[in-house]
Formats: sequence, structure tokens, C-alpha cells
Amino acid sequence: MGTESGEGLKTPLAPLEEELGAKFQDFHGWLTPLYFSSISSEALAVRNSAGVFDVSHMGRLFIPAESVDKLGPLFTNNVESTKMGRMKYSFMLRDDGIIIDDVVSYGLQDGVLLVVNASAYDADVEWLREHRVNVQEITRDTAMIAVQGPKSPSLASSLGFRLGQWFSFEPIKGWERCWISGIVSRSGYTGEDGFEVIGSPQLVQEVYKKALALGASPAGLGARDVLRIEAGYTLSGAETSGRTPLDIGGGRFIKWEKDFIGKSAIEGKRERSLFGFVADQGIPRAGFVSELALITSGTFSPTLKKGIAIVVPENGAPPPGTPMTFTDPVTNRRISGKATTLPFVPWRYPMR
Amino acid sequence: MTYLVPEGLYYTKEHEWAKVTTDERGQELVVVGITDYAQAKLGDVVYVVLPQLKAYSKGEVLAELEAYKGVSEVYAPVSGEVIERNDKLEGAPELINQDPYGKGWIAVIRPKDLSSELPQLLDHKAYEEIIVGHRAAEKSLRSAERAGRPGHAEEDRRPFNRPALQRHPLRSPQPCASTTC
Repeated sequence: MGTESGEGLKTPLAPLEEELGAKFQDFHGWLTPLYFSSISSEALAVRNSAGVFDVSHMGRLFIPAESVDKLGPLFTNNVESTKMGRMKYSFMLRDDGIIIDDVVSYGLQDGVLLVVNASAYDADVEWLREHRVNVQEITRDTAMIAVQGPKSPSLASSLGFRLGQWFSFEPIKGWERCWISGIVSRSGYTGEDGFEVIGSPQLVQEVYKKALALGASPAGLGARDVLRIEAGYTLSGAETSGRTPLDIGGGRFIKWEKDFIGKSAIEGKRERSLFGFVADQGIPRAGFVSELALITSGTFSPTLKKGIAIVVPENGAPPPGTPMTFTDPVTNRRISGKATTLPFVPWRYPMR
Repeated sequence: MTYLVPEGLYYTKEHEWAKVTTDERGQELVVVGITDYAQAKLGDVVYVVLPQLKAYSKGEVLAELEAYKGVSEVYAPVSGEVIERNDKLEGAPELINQDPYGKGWIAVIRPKDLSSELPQLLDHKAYEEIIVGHRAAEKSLRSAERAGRPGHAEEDRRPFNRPALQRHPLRSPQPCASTTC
């Protein structure tokens, strides 16, 4: 939640995670589990079964109904008309079209909930308030977990959750009349089917414990990063940093018929898609460069057992299979492999 | 957490181990790997650049281990010629995590000058002290970080207390019917 409000914040799940043997790291001011057993085994548990992530560090901002219209000019997608029970993905841009953050909006009865990135939290809140949006910061009053993997739908039914379509959510039964209700959405950041729960710390702790008892493996942010790279998803601060949505293939989240800040800077510009790189040997890392492309995220894929990377092209993506070589600008070491399309691992959630 | 530091092996400050054995003709050989502490610090080893079958000087980069967080170098604990390397690590780098003193060995060196280099290595007790020192330093760094932030401990407890909930948007306007919340 940013450096000004205090570093080393713990999520409400931290005591449980300590008991589970979590290895913690600092993540933009939050102490978050990097892994419990190992990054590879947790990533594979999500691909093959189910894993549960504590994502309480993600910023949660409530925008009351009377302020929702003010969101219109601040987002590339129609965040202001997020229907009740539905979610939308959108970019928030500066005047020059550069991405401030990418966010997910949730349509609530009495307003809109924005889930934003911890890395951009302070900038988001400042920007929204500068534009006279009434922002209520509820990150620290709530918690959030993600249960991901092919077994998550059956896990959801064991928990008594009914999952709707992808990117939709419902109140959690029994909690809708409480001080804080809870919501369960069919969504995630791994490319697998799954669901995310937002609610009071007490509710989320309860769901977390039950999910573990039902066989989900605790998984850390190390595995989450690996899984999102395998799924070809962008990370705020990595792919988005200093770029416009069109630089990273985000055109489908832009509503050109509406006005928004940054529109005039990107209108008419050519869109470039991100592409993938699979290394022959070794691990490609963020910052490695080739003549006309830059690696923004790189890791080892435990699913493919290869080094993989998300690449931002200067002009356009090369055809899949094109041999490429990237250089580490620090050591000058070179790494060879081939261009490919994203995602590296096919998405397996139910498409609309 | 405790880390394995077997007796009878030699160690370096850079967390390599060296085991002195003999070949069938009674000549000395040194098997090299990384310690349990080192593998735990690295996390999953996902790619290994093995040494070449050639002569290395003590302290020269012998191998490279890639983990999720980055690349680490393994230095030759003694000078000599690498006569064997653990090719299994190419297909199964996780052996270093699973069995750092056994199946996770990296190379076998025919030492050039063992009698003068061996005394420069650490025994298990001296190496254990180094790990304990590292861990104490990590701990004190963490507590110093905490102490250095006024009000930090309060910050930790404050975020989830009750009063702030009053402006919670997910709150339903109806009074709470359940006793669990």
C-alpha cells in the first residue's frame, strides 16, 4: 500500500501462512508469501489440481455510486457502466497515453469496486482523487484470495459457492447480510479456471482454511508470477511500464467511441502485440534485449520445462518459430531460442 | 529451520562443499557440490551450466546455477582438472535441491595441489558458524528495519481493526442477521 502508509504490512492471512512455513518477501510494502514448499511444485499444483493464493496485497478501492460517472474519462474501458455482478478489465492512462495501472472493476449495488495493483496503488489513489473521484480505501479492511486450478470448480461447490460465467461474481451466501458481505468471482490470473474471494478478514480466513482442508495447496506469489507468464498475462510495472495499451496489444480494452484521458495521444497509432520467446537453454530474464525487441518478463516454465519470456516488439511480432537471440546487457551473455505466440500454456477457463 | 552440514566434508565461505576420496589407483579426487544452506537460499534450481572437462584454478567459476530469482556461480574449491561432471543435472537440476550432498553433486576434480589448498578450506564446524552468523545477520537486519520505522508495529495491527469498517462498501444496508460476523 505504498511506502508512506507503512512498510512491511501483513495481510490478515499472515499468521496462517507463517504456520504453513511461508517464506515471505517484501512486495511493494507488503510482506507476502513468495513460496511455501517451492515455486515449481506450487505452480504445478495449480496446473494439475488446485492452489490457493493470498492476494490481499492488491489494492481495493470503493467508488460510491454518486462518484461512478467520474470514472468514465479516467478509463479506456466502460468502467463506469460495469453491471452489477460483472467485472471489467481496463487501463487508466496519463494524458500522454502511458499506462498508470491496469485495474479490474466490479459492479456493486451501491457503487464500483476497483481492484488495483500494489505497485501502482499510491499513484492510482492520487490520480483518482485529483480527478475528484470519491475513493474509499478498503484494502486493509478486507482480504482477498484466489483459488486456481482444474479442481477449483469442485472445490467451490464443496464450499457452497455457485460460480457463474468468467468475470462475473456473486455475494457469498450467509454473508450478504453481514457487516461486510463477501463476494466470490470466477476469475484469476493463471490461465486456469478458478475463483477469487473478497470479504472481511474473518470470512477470507475461513475460506482459506477450508480450501486447504479440501486439498488446495498453499501457493505463493512466486508461483503466481510463473503462472501468469505462462498464461501470457501482463504485469503492472513490467509490460505496462512506460507504455501505452497499444504498445502491448491491449486494444481490445479500449472503447474508442468514448472520451478518456490519453485518448488523443494514442488514437490512430498502430497496435503491436506481445509475443513469446522459448529459450533453447537457460532462463531469459526481464531486460534482455534483441535488435527489435525487449523482454519484459522472463522465467522458467515448470509446465514446459523451458525458459520462457514475454517480449515487447519494437515494430511487430515475428512469425512463430523465428529463431531469436537475446543479450543480457549486464553480462553480454546471449540466449537463443524461438519466437512463439502467447499464451505458452493454453487458457483453460470457460470462455464466454 | 536447520541445515545439513555433514561432518567429514570441507566447505568454502561461498557455500561449496568438497569431499576428498580416492580413485581405484589410490589417487586423490575431490567431489564438489553446494551446501544444503545454499540450495535452500537459492530455491528451486531450474537450470545448470555444468563445468567443462578442463583445468580450473581455485576460486574460478566452475558452474552456474539458475534459480527463479537469478543466476549464482559455483566456484572451484580447489585447483585441478575436472574429470567428471554430473550430466544428470541437465535434465534434473532439482537434484541439487533434493540431495545437495548426494545425487546433486556437480563435478569431480583431480586436484593439483591438495596438500596446500585443503587447509584453506573450512571444516563442518567452521562452516556451521558461518551459517549461524549469516542467519543472525539476517535476523538483526530484519529487526533493525522494523526498529527503524517508527510506529511500524502499530501499523501492523491497525489495518484490520473494527472502526474502519464503518465505511465499508460491501456492507449491506440491512442489519446483520448472522451471529458469525
